Amino acid sequence: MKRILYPALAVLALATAASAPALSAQDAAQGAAPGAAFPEGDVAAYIDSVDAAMLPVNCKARMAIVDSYSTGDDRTSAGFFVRKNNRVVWVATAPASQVNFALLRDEDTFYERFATTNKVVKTSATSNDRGGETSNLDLTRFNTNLDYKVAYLGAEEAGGKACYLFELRAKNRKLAYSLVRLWVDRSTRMPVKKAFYAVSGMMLKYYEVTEVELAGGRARVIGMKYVDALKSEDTSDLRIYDITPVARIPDQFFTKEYLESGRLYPYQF
Amino acid sequence: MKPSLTLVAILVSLSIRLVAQADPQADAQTASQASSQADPQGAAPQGAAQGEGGAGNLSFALTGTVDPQVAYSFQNEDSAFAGLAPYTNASALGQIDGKLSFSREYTSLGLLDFTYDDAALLSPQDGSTIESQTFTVNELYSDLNFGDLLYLRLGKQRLSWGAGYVFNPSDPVNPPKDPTNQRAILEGVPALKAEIIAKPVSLMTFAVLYDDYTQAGYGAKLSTSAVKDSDLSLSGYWSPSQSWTGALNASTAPFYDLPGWDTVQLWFEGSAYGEARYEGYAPGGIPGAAETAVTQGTQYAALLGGSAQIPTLKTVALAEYYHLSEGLSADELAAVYKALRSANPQVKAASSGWYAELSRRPGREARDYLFASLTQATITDDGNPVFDKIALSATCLFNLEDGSWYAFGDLGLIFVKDTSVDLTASWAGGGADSEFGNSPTRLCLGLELKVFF
Repeated sequence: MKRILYPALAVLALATAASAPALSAQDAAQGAAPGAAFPEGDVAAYIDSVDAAMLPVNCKARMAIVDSYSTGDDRTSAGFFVRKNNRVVWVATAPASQVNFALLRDEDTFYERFATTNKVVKTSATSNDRGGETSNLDLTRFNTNLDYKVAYLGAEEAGGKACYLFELRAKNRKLAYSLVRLWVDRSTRMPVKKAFYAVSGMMLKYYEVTEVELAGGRARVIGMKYVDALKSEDTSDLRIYDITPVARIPDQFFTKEYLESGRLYPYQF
Repeated sequence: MKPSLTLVAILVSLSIRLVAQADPQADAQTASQASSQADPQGAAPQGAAQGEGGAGNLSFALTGTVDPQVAYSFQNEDSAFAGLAPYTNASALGQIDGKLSFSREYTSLGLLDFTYDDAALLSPQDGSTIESQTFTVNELYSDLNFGDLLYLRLGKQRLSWGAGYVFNPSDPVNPPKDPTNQRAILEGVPALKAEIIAKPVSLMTFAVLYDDYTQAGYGAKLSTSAVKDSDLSLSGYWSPSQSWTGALNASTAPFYDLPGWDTVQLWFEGSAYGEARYEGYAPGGIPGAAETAVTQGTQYAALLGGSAQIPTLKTVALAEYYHLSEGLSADELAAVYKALRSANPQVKAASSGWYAELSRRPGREARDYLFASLTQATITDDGNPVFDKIALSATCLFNLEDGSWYAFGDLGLIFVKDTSVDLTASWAGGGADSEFGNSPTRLCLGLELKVFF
């Protein structure tokens, strides 16, 4: 159980923090050196194009999540989201008890709407009230450059693919992960793997892209498996599908007042 | 509200709206517009969510719960209400709570929210059963929007007010929440609401409509999230039958930038209003009697609340302090209950106006209350086959004037998908002349099955 594990994890985190310099040295030995010249020009522009290939800046999509545990238990949930850059509304459509639950990210402010009423309250970026391995931020973070400072580390293979490796450092303390590493497929510009680290340098979780369906250079479907780095049997399979660019999305979608009005219920695709 | 002109107007409005939206020509036109405005870089323009309509189909959705429940209540023999009715009883309730919604793409066209109750009360004394069925329309409205800025809603609807969980002192319109029955389904009010949703300020104006137009009320609310990590709103309401209300709502997350502390939230909700909403206390003509009296002058109510999630445990702790200026002091409450429990029938008769008055204001009899709750959505969240499926919650409402209290506990079991089984217990206690010490039932045990669809 997590609550029993946490004290042990805290000790482990301290031990890992103490060994962080050693990890950095190991990374350098593998050729992952921040500041290496990026062969495709501007790193930020490249990352923007990676984001856009995965999810257009203005889009809507559906999402299905299966949380699996080492105990053999699993939970399924589903929803849809509407994205306008760093503003996202995520609405649950399953399970039935969670229909009408909504999560709003308006830049760095998060609100949630309760499933049984339209009451809207602030919530934290790092909460994972939905359960599983995905936090509120995981469900709504799609613009890398707004949230992170990105540095190119070098070329590295991941998932059998030739990749560029990037290091992302959080610009804002509210973000869940102070350090993220991202492997991007050089041929398709699609993410292959992403690993999330605590301030101590300890890896918390990672995801590997398990499915990509491209259309016109953009993803129509993307599947990711989130894995708890400390308990690899605990995973969340997140599938984003029906990714549809939208020409114009009203700003009103991303206000507390709109969420309270219940007008996004239900959103039928 | 009687089944009335207002209801008919709502139904007609909703019907027109649905028929208009089902027009296939309108579909084709909107789809064409969406296509022409699509991303020039080759993005697939299916179902572009722009303006009203979009290219999606008209859709209906029915969600809700089927909720059979049984309860056993034990009468409080010391209550001033004992003897008025048999409060020791077994009850069974079958409840269907449904929401039928109509929408097209992101545009909500209307909603019907209803509750059907089939209740049976079994008296253990004589075995008699009283059964009743009710069908309540909680909300029935039609939505209309003009572009992305102006939104209209006509019909029976819940108007949202303050940040408070169990008290909303700034709400002059909806039936007041009962803090001793947080699960009660709240009915809306018939109203026409117009909202301009924008940044940094949104404006809501509304008229509450009744068949008797002299009871109509008019209000407005300005709200903004422009202040960092805070939400503010100012509202006003006027009705010839209720005088005026002015209210301020503020909520903030003071440590929102500090991971681990970002779940801490504080809120304030306060209102002032021109006429008292409850009866006041007056000594009766007979010694020991208590009569109701009109409270004069401007009154106010205020709420201060806070909540936070305890790290690691993920327990949500919430507390609200509530002050009602027209509430009774401890001495006044004691005088009322003493009179109602008097052995002198003349004193009781002279004070009998308080029976109805007290019944309509649970959690609002006194001036000061404290509500506290602890909620554990699930004991663990790591796939444990048992503890992941158990939810716990405990709440307590304290009457700070007389020290009485009302506690409620819920053990939820969620072993079957979309189904929960809840074991509940409520317990009221306090001194002989206190509010909850005179609760008609001392203890109530319940079992509830809730199936979500």
